[in-house]
Amino acid sequence: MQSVTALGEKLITNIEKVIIGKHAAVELAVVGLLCQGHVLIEDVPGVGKTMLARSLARSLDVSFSRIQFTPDMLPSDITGTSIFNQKTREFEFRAGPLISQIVLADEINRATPKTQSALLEAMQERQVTIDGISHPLPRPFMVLATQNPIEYEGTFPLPEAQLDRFLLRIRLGYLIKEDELKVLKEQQYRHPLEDLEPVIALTDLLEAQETIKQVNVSPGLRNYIVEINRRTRTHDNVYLGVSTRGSLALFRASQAFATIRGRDYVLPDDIKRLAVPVLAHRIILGAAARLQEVSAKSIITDIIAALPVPGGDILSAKP
Amino acid sequence: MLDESDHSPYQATRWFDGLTILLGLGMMLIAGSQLVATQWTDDLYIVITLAVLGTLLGYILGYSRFHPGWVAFFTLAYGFPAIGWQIGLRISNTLPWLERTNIVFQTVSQSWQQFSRQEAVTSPMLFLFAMAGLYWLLGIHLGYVILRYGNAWRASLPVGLSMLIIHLYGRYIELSPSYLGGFLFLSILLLGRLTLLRRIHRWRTEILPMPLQAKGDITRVLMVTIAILFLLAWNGPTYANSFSSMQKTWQTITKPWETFTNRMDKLTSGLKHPLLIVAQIYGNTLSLGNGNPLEDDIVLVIDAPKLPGNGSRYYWQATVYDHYQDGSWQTTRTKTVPFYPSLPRFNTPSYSSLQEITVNIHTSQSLYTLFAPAEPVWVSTNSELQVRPLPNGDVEVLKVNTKTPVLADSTYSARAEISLATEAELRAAGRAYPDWVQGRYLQVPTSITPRTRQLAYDLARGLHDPYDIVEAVTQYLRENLTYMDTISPLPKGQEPLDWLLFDSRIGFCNYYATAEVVLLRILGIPARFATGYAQGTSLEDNADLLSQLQTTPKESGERVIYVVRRNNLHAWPEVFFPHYGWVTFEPTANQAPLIRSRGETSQQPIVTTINPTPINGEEELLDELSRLDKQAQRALRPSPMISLSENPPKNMLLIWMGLFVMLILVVLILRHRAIRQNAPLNLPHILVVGLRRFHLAPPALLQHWAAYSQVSQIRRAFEEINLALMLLGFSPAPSLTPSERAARLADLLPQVSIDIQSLTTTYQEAIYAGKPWQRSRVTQIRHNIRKAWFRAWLRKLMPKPLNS
Repeated sequence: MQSVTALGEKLITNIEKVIIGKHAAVELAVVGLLCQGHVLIEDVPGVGKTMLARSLARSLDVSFSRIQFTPDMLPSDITGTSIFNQKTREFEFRAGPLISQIVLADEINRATPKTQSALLEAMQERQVTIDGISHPLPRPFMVLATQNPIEYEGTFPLPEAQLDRFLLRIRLGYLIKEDELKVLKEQQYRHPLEDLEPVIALTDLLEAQETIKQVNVSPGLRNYIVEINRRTRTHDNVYLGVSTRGSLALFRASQAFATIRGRDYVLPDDIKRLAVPVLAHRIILGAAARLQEVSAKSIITDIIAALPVPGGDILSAKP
Repeated sequence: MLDESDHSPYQATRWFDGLTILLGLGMMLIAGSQLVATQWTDDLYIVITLAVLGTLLGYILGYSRFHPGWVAFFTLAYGFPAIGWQIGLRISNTLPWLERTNIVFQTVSQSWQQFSRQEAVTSPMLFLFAMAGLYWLLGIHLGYVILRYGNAWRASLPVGLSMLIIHLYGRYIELSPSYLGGFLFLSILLLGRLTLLRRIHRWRTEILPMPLQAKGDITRVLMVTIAILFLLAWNGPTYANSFSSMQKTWQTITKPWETFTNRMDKLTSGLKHPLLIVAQIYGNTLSLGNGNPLEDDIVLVIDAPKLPGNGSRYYWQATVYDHYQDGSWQTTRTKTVPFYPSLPRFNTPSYSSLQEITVNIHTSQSLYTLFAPAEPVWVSTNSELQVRPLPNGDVEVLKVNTKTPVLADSTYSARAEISLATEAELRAAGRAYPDWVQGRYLQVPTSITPRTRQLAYDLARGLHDPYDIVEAVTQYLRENLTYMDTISPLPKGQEPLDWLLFDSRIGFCNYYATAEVVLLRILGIPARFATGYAQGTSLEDNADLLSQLQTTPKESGERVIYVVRRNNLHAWPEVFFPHYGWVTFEPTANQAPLIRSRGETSQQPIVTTINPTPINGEEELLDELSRLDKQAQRALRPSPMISLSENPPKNMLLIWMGLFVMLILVVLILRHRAIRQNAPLNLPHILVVGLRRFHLAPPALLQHWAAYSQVSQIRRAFEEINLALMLLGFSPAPSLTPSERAARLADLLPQVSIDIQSLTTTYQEAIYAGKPWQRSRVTQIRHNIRKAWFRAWLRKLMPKPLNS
């Protein structure tokens, strides 16, 4: 367990050489990695979405590819295709960029739904099927997708049901002044990304991904997770609440988060911290909510603010 | 294995157990009742209240985490107001509290000065104060030790010791041994119960499985066993005495004890007086005792009209007794009625040849029971009369107790009707005794031996009139018994009178009077036993003393000053004569014989200096007038006079006993239910469930209490943080996590932020990961946090300066 904490720390320190002032986001990206989940980074251009994905990939001793989605892109452009080899007179599989350990899917909402579906299917199945032949994807396999919430012109918003496949949705946001000045200073001559070295061995990562599953989540907290999710399903402003996969995601993510924070047990704080990144993109707001401009984030926040924490005081449920 | 209580007394287990608590209360109740039964002074029953309150406070302090030093502080801090309050309640309802406090303080300090100067203490206040303090301390000690240390020996030993000492003193007033027995029974039960609790505690720490009902079962078996053992032990002497061989064995067993108690008597006989000879030595029981040499300090100085004749004397009566049994006199079936000086007189029956006189009594000691010539009809203070109601609506006054003590060096007045019946009148009185006299004053104990009865018959042989018989008995006692002011202890098992009349032939006034009363009763002549002071020495022309007494303007006739000393303490028989009432006789050999005026007929005028007897012809008319007057008075009398109330001390005792029994019943019922439902007894939980059953929302405080009593120790510890937040004005929302709460409190109390952090981590590890935790450390941290928030809270309560 301590080795995983150390691994997480090392990784975060390494990434923060490039991504300055975004500790929370970096931490969440590492949580996604440890949970073998995929991460959707959603923000305006130029705040470091791509840079986060790239520095994460570079910190690991893994294969990395980047796909820039465009409206004319076809599924085979990402998964790869079979090409007839005239020498051997056989079709041979030419792997696409998706067949890689860390995939940066840039501006995922610019691709057509057809291509998006291919990506999302690969994310879930962890294999691609071309011409009836299944090609398993390497381990670990992690998709870091970015998306621009504005500039909707010429985009194809991801079907909400498919957003469920992302473990986390991270928002980066702007830097504070001091951090921005630091960025200017550090990147005066060269980009720090160029100096980034892999710090984590592949085997260590795979082991860590298994280890986090042993983190203790007390019955009261399991109940707390389920109760949060149940409340999204009955909430007035929600058209479709969080699925069971959402509960599982919150459960797993809090285990990973606890580990990074150096604990072998989950605290209600972990769950509260992760509820918005894990759950907000999974709920579909009702029509009324859209009109009132109520965001998914505020709904989750409200639910948490109204739900007694197990073990908070003696009147609360048994932890 | 070391017991937890051995190394950290105020952080260890608390031996909280319903039955134990009840046992402790019961023990203190018995101890208090025993002291009350001694009747050393009035108002002793406040000791019961204080003992019970003290025990309850002791429980609270024992359960708390206060350092023993603080416990001692609270004992004193609550003790003085509690004792003062209880004593103050007895002083007067009308006085403001400030004045009452003043009176208590002054009386106690005055008594203390007397005591330190080795003078006789004149007021019972110091004694009452000391006893109240002692029982308060005993109660607190018992409660504290039981709950904090669970040590039955340490808890019950001091109380038991004081009870034993009181019992040894109380031998003179025939204190029932059932108090000691009851106490012993409860303390053995307590010992058993606490031992059981300690065992259970050990089993738990060693994680031995224990069936749930075992506790109840063992306790029940314990109770039954001890009860059987007690029954056997109690009746042991009876069984033993019924077999002669066993009797010897029994005597060898009990001999050392008797020797010991006899020695103790000698040891304590010196102590008996300085504290206990307060004016109220007249309880409802009087033991004949062994006598004590008395000092000759002046107790009363009385201004009274001169009595006619040479042989007649005053007797300053305090109280009379009617029931004799095994060496002690008792007053039975009495009521208490209030009396106010504004009322004309006591409602006593009227007899012939009575003369009303007024006396002024100056006392040099504080008095509760007033002295007056027999029969008193009026006193100048607010009083409570101990009376026995008579069938015709009159009352027989047995004792006059003042409501507020007549303090030392003050004077009160009394009116009395003294009997001036002549020999001839008494001889002609006959035997037509009223039923109430026959029913009450002819009682003879069954233990009186045949030879005593035979002596009575021999003395009365050939005599017909009761008066002659009385004279014969009086004369016999004067001639055949030797006076001695102390006597050796009575031999065990022998009837005291039998021993006095036939074996020792030595006694003092108590024995003379008792012998005369019993002998007369055997012969069918109603008699009673009176106590008080003999006349004392007369100072006919002492101007100094006369001027000291603020006497009422002299009526016509001669007045005499009588000086009564402590060694004039006396007892005498009073014999009832139809139409003439109670007449005093003097069988005690060291007193001069009473000589009655011979007066051949009742018409013969007697020397009257105060109130001339009405002229013969008008007598009937005056009688008629006075009867009418009396009826009118009776109609006009305020209701308290008519409604006879029970004695308050008995009431208090009954209330306490009743409450105690009810409490035991309720707890037993709840325990039974709890055992049946396999759930531990939890009072707040029961209350919450009960309220919910009636669709009532339980108050927040009760909910918290119920929750608190059910959660684990570590959750209780963390509740300290929530409590602190609440009291410091930040009510944490239920959705806040422990660490958010902790962070918030750390902002408010930065000086203990490390402790808060550490408590929170321990708490989180314990409840979210099930990790073990160290109790002593958590208690220490909790203690630190409590100190910090308490200070912050006090600061918050302080008024803020306006300018800053």
